[in-house]
Amino acid sequence: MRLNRSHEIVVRVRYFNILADYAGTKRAEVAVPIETTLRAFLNHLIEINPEPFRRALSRGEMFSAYLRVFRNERMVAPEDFDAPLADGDDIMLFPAVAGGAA
Amino acid sequence: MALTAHIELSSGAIQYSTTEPTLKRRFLGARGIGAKILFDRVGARISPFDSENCLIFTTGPFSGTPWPTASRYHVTFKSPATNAYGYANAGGHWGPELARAGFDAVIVTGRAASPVYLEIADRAIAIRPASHLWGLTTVATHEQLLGVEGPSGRNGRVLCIGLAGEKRARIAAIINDYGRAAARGGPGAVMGSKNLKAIHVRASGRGKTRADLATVARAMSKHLVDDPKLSGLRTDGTVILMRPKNMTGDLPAKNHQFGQVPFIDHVDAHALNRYRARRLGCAMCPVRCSRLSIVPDGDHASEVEGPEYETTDALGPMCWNHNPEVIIRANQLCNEYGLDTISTGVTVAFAMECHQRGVLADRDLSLEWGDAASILGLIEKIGRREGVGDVLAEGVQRAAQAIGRGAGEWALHVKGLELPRQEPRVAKGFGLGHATSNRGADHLYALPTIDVAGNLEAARTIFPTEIIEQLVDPADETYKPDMVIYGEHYCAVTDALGICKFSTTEEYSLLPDDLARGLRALGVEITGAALLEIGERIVNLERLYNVRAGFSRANDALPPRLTRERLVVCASETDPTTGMTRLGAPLREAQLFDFDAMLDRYYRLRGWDANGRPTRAALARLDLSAEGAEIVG
Repeated sequence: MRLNRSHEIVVRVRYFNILADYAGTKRAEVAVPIETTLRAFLNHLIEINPEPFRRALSRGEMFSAYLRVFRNERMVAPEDFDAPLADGDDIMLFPAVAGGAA
Repeated sequence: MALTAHIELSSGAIQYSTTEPTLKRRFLGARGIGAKILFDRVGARISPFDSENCLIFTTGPFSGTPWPTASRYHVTFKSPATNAYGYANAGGHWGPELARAGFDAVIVTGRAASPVYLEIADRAIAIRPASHLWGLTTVATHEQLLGVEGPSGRNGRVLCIGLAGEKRARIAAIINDYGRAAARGGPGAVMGSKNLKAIHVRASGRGKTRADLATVARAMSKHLVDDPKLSGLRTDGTVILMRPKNMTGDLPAKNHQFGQVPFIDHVDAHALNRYRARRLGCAMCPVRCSRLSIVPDGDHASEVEGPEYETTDALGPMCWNHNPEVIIRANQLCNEYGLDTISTGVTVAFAMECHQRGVLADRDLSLEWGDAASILGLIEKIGRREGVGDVLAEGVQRAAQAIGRGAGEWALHVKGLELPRQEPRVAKGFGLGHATSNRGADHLYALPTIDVAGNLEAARTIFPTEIIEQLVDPADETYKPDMVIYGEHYCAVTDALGICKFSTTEEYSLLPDDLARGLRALGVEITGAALLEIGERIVNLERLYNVRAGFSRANDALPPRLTRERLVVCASETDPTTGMTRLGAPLREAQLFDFDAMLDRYYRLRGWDANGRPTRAALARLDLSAEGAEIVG
């Protein structure tokens, strides 16, 4: 349910692959304070989901090299994780697993 | 103009011709030209070890140029593993050296009366006696031929076979540049059957570069360096996949009885990096995903290029082996004997499951899961064809037939080629790709990564908007055929150009239009769309080869375990006591719901009939009517 108060924004998040299993859903709408950055938003998702979800997104203080994040269907480079989100943003999270051998 | 060399080992005759421009126009280079030559020269009645079988070494239009990742060569042959179309492909430095020596293709037929090697210099080839090399490891062979210059390249480049190839192990590879392998389908065995130990190439030419190509190549190289999708490959190489694949259930273990291991902390990139002496890269590669690993001392002291992901899973989790030093040592042994690490690991795992089920024993080795002595001992026995290794050297399909007692249920192969290291019940696009690949189970025939890599940008570029959400869901089978078909065409183009898929289909960093831009700088007027049509032509010609050999839909099948059994995927969590990763509660069951429906759509989209045979209309569209005339009527 979308609850958009003046001091917060609502961000739509879609989980793919094992992340959907950990989150127990493929999509959710999450309310966070305005000016929340993508990094803070991902940390918020870690807080509200089970422990294995955290392991999937991060190693120590770093987000995993194989975590792929899309904001409004555009891939976000790690250096852009500190940009603030906007109300209605669409975030897609993939645990990226590509092929393998040369 | 580059040359095609025809070498008949039985008579010692060597002929040279200018490579036909029509051949390049229709099939581009490397894999495409190899496919056409094999199709024309090695018919259904020729067996893989007959002297009439060909070994066709080819380079592509980008080989010998500064194009980023232009390091690959291709070798095409009738496969002793599948008895059908076969090829292998490898990076390193040998391919560009061959191109700089002036050759598009080197076709080897016949059988030498005694061991020989080929010495290739600028536009000239000689057959030399190799009795002094026969029986040597691949490393020793390199050392003999390259002398003190070693891997520097100042004395040229070498490819060769080891003992496994000499003894015609059907899982034998060709090893080049000490630690690179053209591995799949048994090319080493074909080379051994011809008494051909090695090919030593020395080129003095600088290659076929042009100023405008250099400009485009620099831009593409920078693009690859800057692409964040390739950052994991740059920092850790392909073993970065170990951990996320374990998390998603896509890390085949215990011969695909499991898709995860409880010991991932021991075999992930972090663990393997402890043995990484330095990063390595192929010729012209800005990514440099490879590594030199050294185990300095102890029972498993070793030094080898690798291991990469496929090898790590095959010789690690597949055999329930959690010791990274054993993985590295096993990699080294495979290279020295000249064995395909994928097929060898799958074969060792097969033997261990046969033992688990009570149908196989060995007097020297326990064959227990994870037993280091058994893993290393079996590799030696396979390489030497000793004892149980003699039957295992035939690969799992033939070994299962020899062992009997239901062993076929545990033989993980397609068309006779051992399965690469994806779990088809989780990575369903790979499952379909393994099945449809014309060289047998192969992750690199389609490299369908778009869904599992979450490559939304590539999906949007290639596919209609309305199918993308389903297509990028690894569990959704609906549009996997669409993804596999596009991947097959683009992989064929990549192989035909002599470049690495890590620049193209792995992450779609470079797209067909980028490659066309490079070709135009070489004077070849072509578009990205036209390149993909050539890719489709190559795939259809390879399919025709197999149809002519009697292959059909029945051969596009996955092993029964993967279509009948469900795979439990567990949560990956932290053990609060040890801080180590462990497997927690089951999350879901992974399974292939309707593999036949995927295959039906795959055939329909290709314009093939329900039995997997190209139709006349499809062949006419691809300018393959002449090749198909006597096969599809």
